[in-house]
Amino acid sequence: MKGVIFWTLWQRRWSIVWWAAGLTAFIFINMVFYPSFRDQSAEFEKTFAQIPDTAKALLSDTGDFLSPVGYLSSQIFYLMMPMLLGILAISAGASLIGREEKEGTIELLLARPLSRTKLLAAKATTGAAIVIAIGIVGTMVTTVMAKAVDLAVPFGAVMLAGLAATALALSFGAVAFMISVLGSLGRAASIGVSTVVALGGYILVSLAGTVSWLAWPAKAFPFYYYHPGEILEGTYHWSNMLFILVLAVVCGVVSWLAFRRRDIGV
Amino acid sequence: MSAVEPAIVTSSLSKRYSGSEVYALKGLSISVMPGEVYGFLGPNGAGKSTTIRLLMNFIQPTSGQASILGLDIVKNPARIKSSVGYLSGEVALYPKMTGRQFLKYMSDLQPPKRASYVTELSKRFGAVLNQRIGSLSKGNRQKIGIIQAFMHQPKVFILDEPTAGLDPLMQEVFFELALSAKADGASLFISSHNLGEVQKMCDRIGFIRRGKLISEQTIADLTASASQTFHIHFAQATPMLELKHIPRAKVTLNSPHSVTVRLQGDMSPLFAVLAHHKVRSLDRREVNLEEEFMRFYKDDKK
Repeated sequence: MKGVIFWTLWQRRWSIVWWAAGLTAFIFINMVFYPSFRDQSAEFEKTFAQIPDTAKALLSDTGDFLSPVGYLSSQIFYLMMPMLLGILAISAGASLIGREEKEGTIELLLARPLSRTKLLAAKATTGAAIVIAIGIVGTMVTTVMAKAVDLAVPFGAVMLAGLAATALALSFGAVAFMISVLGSLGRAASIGVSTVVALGGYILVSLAGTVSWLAWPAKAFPFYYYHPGEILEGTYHWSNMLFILVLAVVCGVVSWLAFRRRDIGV
Repeated sequence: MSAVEPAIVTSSLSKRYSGSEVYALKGLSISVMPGEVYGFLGPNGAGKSTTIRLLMNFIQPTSGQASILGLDIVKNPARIKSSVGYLSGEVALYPKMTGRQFLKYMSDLQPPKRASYVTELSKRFGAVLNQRIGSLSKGNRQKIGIIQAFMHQPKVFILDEPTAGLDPLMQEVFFELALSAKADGASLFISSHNLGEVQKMCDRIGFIRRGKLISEQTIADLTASASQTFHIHFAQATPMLELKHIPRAKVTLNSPHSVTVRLQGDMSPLFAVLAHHKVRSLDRREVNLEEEFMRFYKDDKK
């Protein structure tokens, strides 16, 4: 199992490096402008006042863009970090088993004394490790940049928001992993469905504040339970995270049940 | 003294793929003994790869059972794999890895009994290990595929078209390697289209067609039953009438003095006829199983 984890990480080493570099650059660019926003907050407030509530809801869960928490949530944690990590998680989830199966290399692995359960666990662990590693990089860069630009949000709160964004992304990846492991639907379906869960959930949840009938279906998406503004303010109910974790666990169990006895490469 | 158990046993092994009405494999019952090379032959789509994929537990049987070294293929796939060397028909390796990195990966998953054996195999085949696999020719990829199947010195080999893409020299290296594994008591189950490969290596052959085993013979029996071809040049006119009376003989007149006789089984009636005539020359063509194979293959098209 360790061999599969090591070599899968080795195969993706450059991708991991580029993701880390890309996320770092993106966070840096977003954070470096905070002092300008803060210093010209009066002008920006007038501009934001003209933006419709629906559009505001798509950009922030707090409706506030200029306070330290509002800025950090709207610029980093509400959309950008979970979506970038989500893209990484979905792409890894859809390909860790899916690509090996499509290209036939999974036979090389299953021809060794390695049970399907162990192979699945090794691949899931690798995917989670990649997303968590990039999540840690993103969180650390955010923390450092917050300090550098005097953005007054406690270090612990930033770390927890990073953790929650990573967990949310992992749930998207778990959906992608499960669908690719089911076999018959293929990698495209895996990416498609998990993108709907991620992006569709974000749109539904963001609009649910202004379109009341969307509130109920929004509850079916993990994004509904993710409130970075509250995490940064220290008012988040962590029981919300249960939905996200349970979803990931359910996807893992379904993947295992489907994969242990199904036909490979058919 | 306990009887020797077969290394591979299948019992009424069948497979029908999901969504298909037709069985890809129907009621296959065979056994392969330790130290035996079993050739599995048949036209494309006959069920050879399905059988191999079932034995490797990549796909699940619809009915029937199979065991390798006494272990059920469905219940104990991971334990079985510690004693099995596998080569797929379409060797799919990791194109971005070098051969050396790939063999290290496979060694990490299943450490070889002797680390130096991997190097020995690489030298024997002249494998290119420092280039990315994606940049290698089919033959060089095949060599790496063979090395990964043999490097842990398993007791059972399941090989799908093992010499595909290898040049004749490398084919000989492979035959030597396989026969040395057989001499060490390993069992080899080989799917093949390569007649030379089968003739050189196999002790027994199973012919499969449309998912069913239609014949199983030893190479010795097959050779004995295969027709032999004689080109005969007579000093006088060919005695066609006498030749045509030879049982199980097919006679073709090439010229007034020359004839080709294809004969199955006992050859003495032919020589009895020749004894009464002046024969200038007689050439016997090497017994070749090609006609036997073609018989099975051609029947499939009917």
